[in-house]
Amino acid sequence: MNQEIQNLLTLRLDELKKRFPQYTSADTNSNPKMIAVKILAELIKEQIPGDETSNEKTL
Amino acid sequence: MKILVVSLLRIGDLILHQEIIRSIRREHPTGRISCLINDTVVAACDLIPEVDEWIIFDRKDLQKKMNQRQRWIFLPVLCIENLIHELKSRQFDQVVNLTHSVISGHFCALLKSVNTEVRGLCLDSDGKMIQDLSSVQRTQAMSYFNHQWSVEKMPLLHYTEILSLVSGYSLDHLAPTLERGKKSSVISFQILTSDERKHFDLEKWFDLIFFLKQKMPSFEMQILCSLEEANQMEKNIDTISQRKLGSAFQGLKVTACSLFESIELIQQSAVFISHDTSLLHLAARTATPIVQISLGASHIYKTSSISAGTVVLTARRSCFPCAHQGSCHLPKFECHEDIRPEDLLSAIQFQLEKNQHELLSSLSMVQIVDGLWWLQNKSQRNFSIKQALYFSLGGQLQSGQFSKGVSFESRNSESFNATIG
Repeated sequence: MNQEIQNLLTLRLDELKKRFPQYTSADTNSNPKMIAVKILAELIKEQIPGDETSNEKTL
Repeated sequence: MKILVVSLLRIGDLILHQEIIRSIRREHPTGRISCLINDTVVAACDLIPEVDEWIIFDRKDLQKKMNQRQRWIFLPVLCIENLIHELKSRQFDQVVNLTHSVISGHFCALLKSVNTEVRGLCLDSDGKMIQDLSSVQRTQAMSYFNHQWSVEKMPLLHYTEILSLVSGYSLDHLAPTLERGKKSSVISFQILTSDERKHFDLEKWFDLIFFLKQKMPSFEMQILCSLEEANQMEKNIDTISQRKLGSAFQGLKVTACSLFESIELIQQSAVFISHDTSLLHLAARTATPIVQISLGASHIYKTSSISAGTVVLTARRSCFPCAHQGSCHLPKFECHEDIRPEDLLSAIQFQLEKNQHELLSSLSMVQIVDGLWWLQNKSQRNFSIKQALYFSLGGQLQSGQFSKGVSFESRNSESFNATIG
């Protein structure tokens, strides 16, 4: 993956945090939008090499 | 009864998940089984008739959109949200999560309700596992799966077995589901994988084919590959043929086929040789003898072929098997040196002729495991793996020959319960 796309993905994560600041907070399990944001964040993370928080395979 | 199976991994995993799906179908013959899968595995849907409805998660498409600068971030969020609403609207009675991943855990958290039981991983807002309090055994199995199995080099249970315990659906009826084709003189190979750590380089394969041509001139050789791989494979063969003795490769057939077509080709083969791939798991449905090569991140105890009688050749380095994610820390894949083309030749001869003496006398460097036969022999689970080897190869193996096997003192349900309890 080239550096430009990696930077873009990192920006995407920052953008998610900015647009949906509550998605990392507790009590969001009953909120479909927040779950959708969490899932999207995971999809972004798993594309960033070396991101320790990316965890598609197992917990 | 409306059941959702969550299978958000790759094709090989989905094929292994089929054993659990079959079990669900046996238990709920009139139930409606839906299955949530990634868009990358749609090609395997036709192989699993037990599922009534496929629900597709556009993972690849969403990831592609996130890589494009001009894309708006709200649209992917909306797509996922719509999928969640769609899943919720189905009002499933039960969700069986066969995917031990963060994403699947989030999906399941939202589907869990008073009326919807979730079996398998479910995550809370902090990313912690929500305990399934309705079954002590499933809770213990999940705890073992999460804390030990994932990191163990020699776990007590195969991937399919641990999923069976986590989901509460048994594997009592494991057996080849397809008849063997008429006796064939074709030897088939699957030589590429999606992970270069898991497959030999092509030169080694062609050394093997060269040996086979010399030793077994009456057999035809056939390389199975996907339609996307076919052109590259033809070019590789041309290049290597020019460097080596080209005549050895005359008549070597490269067959590009779909997953569905590959089953028939494997059924019609005298023996099938493969790395840890989706075709390996498909081949386990047939009665065709299998030789499996386990290298890199391929884990013999976790994801080997579940076909009884499979001969598995494995690397022996201390770093084997390496982590599923990441890359090899060595300058070259040293574990690939543990298996020689000669070893493969012996294993193939064994599968064709069942000449145990020749096999054992010729294999000096590699470990051999005769399939995960215990999956099919639950009544005999009190055997250790050493005994399993002893049993399945006719009782003539010497103890100590299989260093990994010896440490498996007891592979039975009591020791499993003791471990997870």
